[in-house]
Amino acid sequence: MEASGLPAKIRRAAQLLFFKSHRIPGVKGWELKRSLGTGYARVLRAFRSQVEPLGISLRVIGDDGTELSLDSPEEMLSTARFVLVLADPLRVSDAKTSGWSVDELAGLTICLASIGSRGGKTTRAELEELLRQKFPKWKVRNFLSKYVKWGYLEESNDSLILGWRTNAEVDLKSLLKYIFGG
Amino acid sequence: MSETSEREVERELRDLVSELSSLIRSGEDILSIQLEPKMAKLKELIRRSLEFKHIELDMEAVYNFALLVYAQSKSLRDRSSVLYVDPFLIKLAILGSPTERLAEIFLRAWRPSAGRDVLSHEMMKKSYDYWNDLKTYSIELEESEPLRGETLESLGIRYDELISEGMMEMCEELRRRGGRLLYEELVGGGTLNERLRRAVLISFMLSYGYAHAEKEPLKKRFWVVAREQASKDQPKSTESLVTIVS
Repeated sequence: MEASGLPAKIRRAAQLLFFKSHRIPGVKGWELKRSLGTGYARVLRAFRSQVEPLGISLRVIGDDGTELSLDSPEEMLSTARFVLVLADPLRVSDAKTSGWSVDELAGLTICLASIGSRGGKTTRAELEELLRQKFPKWKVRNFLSKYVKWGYLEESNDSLILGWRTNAEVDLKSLLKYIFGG
Repeated sequence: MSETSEREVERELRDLVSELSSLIRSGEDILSIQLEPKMAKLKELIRRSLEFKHIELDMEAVYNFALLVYAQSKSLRDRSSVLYVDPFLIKLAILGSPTERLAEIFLRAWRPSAGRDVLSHEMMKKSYDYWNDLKTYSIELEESEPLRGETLESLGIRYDELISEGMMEMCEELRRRGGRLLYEELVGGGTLNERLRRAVLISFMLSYGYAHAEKEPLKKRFWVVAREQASKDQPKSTESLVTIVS
C-alpha cells in the first residue's frame, strides 16, 4: 500500500460509503478508485470484514441492477454503485420509527411483487388498480409518488419499473416467495 | 400494375402496419399473438409492392414485426427465470393478504441502505465561514393597507360606478347573452385593466344578488347566471372563489 496505509484507506472508505453526499446513497466504483487508488477492491474487502460484525453489508449493484462481487471485472465495478445495507431485517416498530407507515410498506410490497411478476415492468394504470383494492385512491397516488421519489420505482414512459433502490435494498426473489407463505 | 391494384396494396399494408402497432401497444400477453399468418400476409404484400411508398410501408411493417419478436423473446426469457411467478397468482395472493402481513413481507426482504446524515467538522467550519461572510441587509417593512378607492381608480375602476351603471350594464349584458355564461367568457379577453374591472363588477353583481353562481366542480367550470330581479335573501353561506384574471 501507499504511504497513507491500509487503516487510513479503510477510514476513508467508511467516510465515502457512510456519508450521504447525494440523494442516491452509495458511491460509484470510479469515485472509490479516484479516492482509494487502483487497489480499492482490496481496501473494500478489509473494510467489509470490519463492518460485517456490526450487521452491515457492502453490496455492489451493477448498471443493470444485478448484484456484483468485488471480484467482478474492473470495467463492471467502475460504473457499479457500492452501497452499505443493514444485514438483518428491521421490525415493524423500527420501520415506523424511521417514518414508514404499515400501509406504505404494504403498498410497496404490492408494487414490487406485481412488477416483479410481470418481467420488471407494468403500467401505472394496472398498478393503481391493484393498489386500489387495498387503499383509497388519494393514498394510491400519494404512495406511487413517494415510491418513485425514494427510488424504489422508476417511471419509464407510461410504465413503472423497478428503481435503483429496489435493486440495492430488496431481495425480490425472497419477497415473491414470502408472498406465497415461504 | 393498375392504379386500383396499387391502391389496394397500399391500403392492405397500412392496415397491417396499424394492426401490428396496436398489438405492440395493447399490453396483451405477447406470447398469445400468432405472428406467422401476419408474416405470410406481409410476404405476399412485399411480392406485390412495386412503388416506393409500398416499400416504405413494408419497412415499417418489418420493423413492427421485429419489435414483436423481440418482446416475445424477452417474455420467454422472463418466464423461464427463477423470478417468474404468474401475475394472476400474485394478484390473488396480494388480495388475500391483510396489509399488516404485506408490510411484514417487505420488511423480511428489505435491507435498507445505511448512511449518515450528520455534519462533519469540515462542513461545520464551511457553514460558519459562509454565515460570517454573508452581507447584512435590512428590509424596510411597510404596513399593508386595505384596498382603497384611489387604488381601484388607478386601475380604471370608480367605486360609484361599480354599484350603479357599471353593474347594471353588466347585468344587462349577461341577460342579452342568454342569461347564463361561463365566468371566463363574461370577464372577456380585453386588456388586463378591462378584465380586472369586469371581474370586480361580476363579484359585486353576485354579492348584490343580481346574479348567482353555479359551479361544476368535476369540469372545473363556473357559471354566472342572471336573476330577473336582485335577490333580497341573505345568502345562507358565503365562500371565496379564487380565479385568475391574467
